Amino acid sequence: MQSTSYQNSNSNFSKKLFKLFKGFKYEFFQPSLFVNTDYLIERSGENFRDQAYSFQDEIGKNFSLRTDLTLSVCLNYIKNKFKAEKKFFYFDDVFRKNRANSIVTKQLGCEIINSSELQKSTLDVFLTIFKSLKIFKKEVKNFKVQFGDIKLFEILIENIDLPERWKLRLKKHFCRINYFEDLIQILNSNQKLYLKNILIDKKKYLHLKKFPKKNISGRQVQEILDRFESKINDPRDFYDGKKAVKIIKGFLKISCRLSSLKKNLEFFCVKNNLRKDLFEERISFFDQIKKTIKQNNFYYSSQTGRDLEYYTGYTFQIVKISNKKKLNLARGGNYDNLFSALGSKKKIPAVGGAINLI
Amino acid sequence: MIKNNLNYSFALPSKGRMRSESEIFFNKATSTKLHKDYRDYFFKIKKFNFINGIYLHSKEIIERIFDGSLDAGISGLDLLREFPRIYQNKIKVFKVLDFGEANLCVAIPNDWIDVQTTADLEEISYLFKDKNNFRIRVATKYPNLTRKFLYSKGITQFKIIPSLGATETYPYTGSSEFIVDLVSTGKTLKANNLRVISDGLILKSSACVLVAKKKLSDYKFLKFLNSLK
Repeated sequence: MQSTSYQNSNSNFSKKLFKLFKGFKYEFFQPSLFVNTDYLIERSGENFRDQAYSFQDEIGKNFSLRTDLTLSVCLNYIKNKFKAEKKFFYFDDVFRKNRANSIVTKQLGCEIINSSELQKSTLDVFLTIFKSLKIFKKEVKNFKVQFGDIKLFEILIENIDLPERWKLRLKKHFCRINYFEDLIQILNSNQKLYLKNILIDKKKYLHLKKFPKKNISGRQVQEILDRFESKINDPRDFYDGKKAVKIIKGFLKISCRLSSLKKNLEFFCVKNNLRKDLFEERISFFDQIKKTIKQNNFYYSSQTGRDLEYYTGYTFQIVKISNKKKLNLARGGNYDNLFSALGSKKKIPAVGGAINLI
Repeated sequence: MIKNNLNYSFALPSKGRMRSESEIFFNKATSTKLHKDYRDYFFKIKKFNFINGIYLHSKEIIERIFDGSLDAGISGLDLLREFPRIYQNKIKVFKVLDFGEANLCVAIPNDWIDVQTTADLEEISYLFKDKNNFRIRVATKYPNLTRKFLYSKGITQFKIIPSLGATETYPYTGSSEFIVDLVSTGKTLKANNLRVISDGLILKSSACVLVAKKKLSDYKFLKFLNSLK
């Protein structure tokens, strides 16, 4: 295998990058080639199982060639029991199946872990990635930067009239685009498909009530009864979900220049009888970006970063547009739940970004 | 099996109902009777003497078509779909037959009255993990199809328990909480106090004539295959 680690590379390109990242006070991190497959799935979901090259050792443990480098950085943070804010950068190969061009991609990226000022750190990561891209002057012609914020969707859901179970469900599955569409359809059509079954189960309900402590396939009868009761009292079947769906669909269509985001969101809120300043606190971050870099190719889209399960807040994506085709140059965002998924007892906020160098 | 350039190989399932129904179909489609050898491993068809017939395990039929040592055969669609995509790139479903029909479904204990849909199962899976500190377990002979389906329905907190048979007994023995299995009449499920959830159909399966894609350009073989239609 060709060695492409930063330390082995003597090119001017590497030297420039090293200087740049050091200037932003990032420490260099050399990730390990393999990751525990369970960690990978825990973090990135089943899609990554198909993308990862996996192996089994003699005792049956599963390992995968790293599919990205963020996970390695986080595992390193946990392993070393760091507590303070840490800034890392890396430059190495990642390995994925199903790539159109190559299974090996060089990835250059940086992460800020356990930051006390997440908005500031997000801006820091974005600026570092953006400036690193400038090293490839040819690459960054005709590029477009798209921002997003997963939290905006969560704020919206919390402020529209929906049963609690539906709110949880929509937030949980926002990143699974196909399944989310299915949920929206069910909500929209106000399906009463299972009412008949529920009526049949009422007979069983009365029978089961006699044995509340019995265990049925790992679940206590009382737990089953409680959930059944809360379900039949759930207003889902009688709620007119059409209005909520219309608002959600309208939100997902928001795509505009960053400069007109505030106006667009306010218009959206007024149109849907929502508080005009509902998103104001979150979108102040985009004002900081506009003040820091004067560019007219910065956009916002409600869909940006939605396809990756681990993003929890602000996201960005730098795409090159050539011959009407979009090429993903770099992406990044906040991921606050990853450390918990990797076994950390403490919630550790983090933000990172990476450039794909094909 | 010895193959020569002029002959083609075709396999039938070696056991159970799939074997007897495949033979009935074959006899009917070729309007002739199969001539089996004394060991019951091979067969010939009088009308198509360029076909070398062999009996193999249904799963092996797919393996052999994939590796090129078999040209075609009858096997289950469920088995083909469970194999990695590379197999499906090399094998064509030439004809869907009207026997061996069964649905691959998600089945849960009948007394889980609060669970009607995959959305309920998804909610349960989170509650289960929080309460028991391990993931809800699903027993199946079809780990790939199961994983893909459950993820498509938003269920991510589960563990697959590979099963080789009698999957419907797993919840009873405490080896899994629910199952994914083939259901034809539903009697076995009922006997084991299980039921299929409302949107739990993963795949409608039946016996199929499967052919190596590279053999589809062979006129003589194609003519034989078309006679099976």
